[in-house]
Amino acid sequence: MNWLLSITVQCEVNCALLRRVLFLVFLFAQANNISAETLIYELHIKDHLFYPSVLTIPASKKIKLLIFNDDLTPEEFESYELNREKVIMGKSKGVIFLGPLKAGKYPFFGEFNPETAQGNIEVK
Amino acid sequence: MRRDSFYLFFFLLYLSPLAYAEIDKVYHPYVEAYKKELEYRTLYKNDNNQSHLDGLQVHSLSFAMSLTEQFSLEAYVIARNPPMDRFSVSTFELEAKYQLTEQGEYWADWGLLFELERDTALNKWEGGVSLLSEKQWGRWNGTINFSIDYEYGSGIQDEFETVLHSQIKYRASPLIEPAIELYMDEETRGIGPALLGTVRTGHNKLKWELGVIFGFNGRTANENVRFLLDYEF
Repeated sequence: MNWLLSITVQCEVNCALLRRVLFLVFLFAQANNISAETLIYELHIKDHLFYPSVLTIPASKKIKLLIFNDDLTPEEFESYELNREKVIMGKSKGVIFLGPLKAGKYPFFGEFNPETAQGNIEVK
Repeated sequence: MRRDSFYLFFFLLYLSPLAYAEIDKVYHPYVEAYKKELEYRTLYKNDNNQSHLDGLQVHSLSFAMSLTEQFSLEAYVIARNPPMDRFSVSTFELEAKYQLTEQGEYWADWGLLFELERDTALNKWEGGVSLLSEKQWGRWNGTINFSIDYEYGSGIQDEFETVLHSQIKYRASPLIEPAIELYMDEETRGIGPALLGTVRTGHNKLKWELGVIFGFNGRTANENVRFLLDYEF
């Protein structure tokens, strides 16, 4: 009878795991609903400077930020206030998702050229 | 915000009954692309009522590097200094992290962590997979690691284990961030405060973490002090 008890216990454990996996799938489904509302903005890096250096975006909206690095060298977009870090290799593109954010000013900089590569995201 | 909070709270409640983790650290679901890391971790246990845990030290040294924007590998050497025994290096571990979603793209950020561990002292192999999830609410971040491990070997009973690590932190400043951490596995039940921070050294970063986790069942040491230094270059 021990083997029967063992199979029953294993089944209960697996069923519990399955329920938890289904719950995570449900969370993913919720996430996809949100992505449909995303707005797209662009930022360029050229000669170790950000263009535009001030980017204005709307409050309480989700933003997809495309960052084009037009330089040959890599750069890292970094902002503690936005809680984002992203390395963008030379002559390539990076994608960052922001928000929804409250109104305010959120500074960012290029970690590899912090003296020149600086900017702000203004949320209004 | 209210709906997000509800989901996270429900998620924590839902996983808790299943969860049975050695106090270690909470993993974030992100890969630091094109970076290398050298990390030292230590854990010190204190419990006058449990002589096999009182004074136990665990030290680990690891090297990590990202191979792509989404994938990184980390190799560990782990040493233990049990009470009334000598310091010995007995465990080797390999971890692979895969970032599943872009940060902020979905309701929460997701990643997977695969680990393979060899403990020569116990003649034990352990393999596991962890689902890593993180959610940001303004300056607050909540992180959950849910793991399923299988361990086997001649020195132990072969078995599956489930593990839950979680952390809620407040992003006060890069230098110091307060947090609360929860650790649960089949033997461990621990909760306590932690402080985290990052010091910038030119283009490189030194990250640190210090936590005091209090056991709240009879099998977890009363106090577990964990410390981590991570040099990112």
